[in-house]
Amino acid sequence: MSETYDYIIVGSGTAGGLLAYNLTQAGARCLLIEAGKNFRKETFPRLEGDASAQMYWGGGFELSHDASMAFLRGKVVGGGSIVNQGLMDRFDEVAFDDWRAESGVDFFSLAAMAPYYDAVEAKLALHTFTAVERNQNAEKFVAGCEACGYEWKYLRRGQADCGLEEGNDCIGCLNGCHRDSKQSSMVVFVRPAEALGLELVTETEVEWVEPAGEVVRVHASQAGTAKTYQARRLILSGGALGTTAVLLRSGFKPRYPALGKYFASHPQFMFFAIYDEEINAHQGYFQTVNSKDPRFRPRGFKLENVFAGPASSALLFTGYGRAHHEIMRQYCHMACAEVAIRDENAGEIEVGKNGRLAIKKQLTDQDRRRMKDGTAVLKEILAASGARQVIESPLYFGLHLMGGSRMGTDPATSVVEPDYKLRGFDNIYVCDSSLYPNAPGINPALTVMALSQRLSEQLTRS
Amino acid sequence: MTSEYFSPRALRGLNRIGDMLIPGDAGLPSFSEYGCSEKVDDLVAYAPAEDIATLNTVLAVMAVAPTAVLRWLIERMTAVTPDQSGTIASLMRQLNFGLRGILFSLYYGEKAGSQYTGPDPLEVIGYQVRRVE
Repeated sequence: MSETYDYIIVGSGTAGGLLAYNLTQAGARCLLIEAGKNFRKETFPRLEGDASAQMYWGGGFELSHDASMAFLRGKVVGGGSIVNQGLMDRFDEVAFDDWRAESGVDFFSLAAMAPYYDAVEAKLALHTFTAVERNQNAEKFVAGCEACGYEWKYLRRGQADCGLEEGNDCIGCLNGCHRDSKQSSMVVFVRPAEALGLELVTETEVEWVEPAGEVVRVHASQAGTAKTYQARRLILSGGALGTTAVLLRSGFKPRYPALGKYFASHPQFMFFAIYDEEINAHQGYFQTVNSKDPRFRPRGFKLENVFAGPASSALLFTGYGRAHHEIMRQYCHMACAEVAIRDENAGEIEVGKNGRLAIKKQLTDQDRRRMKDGTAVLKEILAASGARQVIESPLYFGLHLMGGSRMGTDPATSVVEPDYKLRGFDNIYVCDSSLYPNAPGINPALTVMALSQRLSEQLTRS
Repeated sequence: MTSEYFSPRALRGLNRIGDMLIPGDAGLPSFSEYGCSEKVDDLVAYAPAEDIATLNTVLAVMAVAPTAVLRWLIERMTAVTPDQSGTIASLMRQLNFGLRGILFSLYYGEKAGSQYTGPDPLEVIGYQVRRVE
């Protein structure tokens, strides 16, 4: 048994890193527990296969129970913020209105959350892209949108200095930023918190937690060795799957009927367009634009201009044999975009007897309508951009994992109180995307940070 | 060629299914010519032990299965869609993700075998990434 910390925070990703920094800075003695490895900019895997194996749960991806959808979940110090694109969007009133209506939580509004967004944005280096930063992939997307009369916009990203002028290509950033430019939780919060005295243990997987009066015990496994830590307060920030799995393994399901339910993932459907000329979508900035057309939001989809490395791209295509080689020979002539839908939160997270996750997630009828609607628009855009062929990947991916331990006022439909406490406990908190009441249809990262900032201020005040 | 996780027969199965999916083409080596199965441990070391054990068995069967059966399997697993229901469809999707994930990560992962001297597949498809530190 270790000493008693003021706080144990489980998960060093978008929420956990910020909480660890704020609480350590306020003078609390904090322990941050992370299941993944502790890379530095010099040691991130350079190639996508190695990165997938070493920095994601499941050794690359996790599949839903019937393998109809794959989920990508970072397992590394910094969590998803190491492997995501660092896009930083505030929610709109539509998202917060829906959250408030479904959860009964009154601070879910743009006005109430604005101070926390402001505080988080002040900690980050943010950059909104401009025309000179568009690569050929973005040029094709923009040309297609404009030809069809759809609005698009430049993305805002957390980044300090990506070295584009020096010739750097940003696609490698998906394996961890080798310049410490991307504003990951590791760069912005965990490293500075360590300098302030934060204790970080890595490659340590939390199995279950145990309320024990004035303290909470955290039972973990480190290279096969059992470890127990304890603190006066515990904050679970392991994400929708991680946090929910810990609560399920801790035996809380009978107490909370909603535990594991209301899971959503913003399913994404990828399209590759092939052009006569070279596109070289892997060069320059990786992602600079997406759709902004006001007609898309009510229809429940958005379009993202993205790309993937060769191994991931190959996986997304169906052909094999000579057909595979023919497609991959055209890699440098490809552009890529995806339809991402605002899905219904009908998924469910369970833990089997072997302790492994079983993720039940299938598209609902509404999800399918949104997918088809978005697909039709994107195909129109890609055709208008001059593509001679459009390839639709048959694989479904979920990258924004949300819900499972959601916040709300109704014990029948929620697990976490509006003050972030696990219902019925004064010293166990949940703060990450697992508390999302439903899918916002907007990149979730900045709002996770704003919610974490809000909890930090609540805790430091007390 | 040895592996800490896969039996010699499973490694033969990996090369066999690899060559059916990636047979090589002008300038591009086949999966086995490239020799990347030598480095399969780089990738599977981080996968759950249960998954590795299952894959070991599947690959060992693939080493000895008739070619016609493997062709049928590849057709099925690459043609199955996320919307098809049933246990077989689910199994085919798992195979599709698992097998192709490993094969492509090796082949497009700069993991040439010790005997390979030809061009790297990444070079042939024109994938060059500048990394400015």
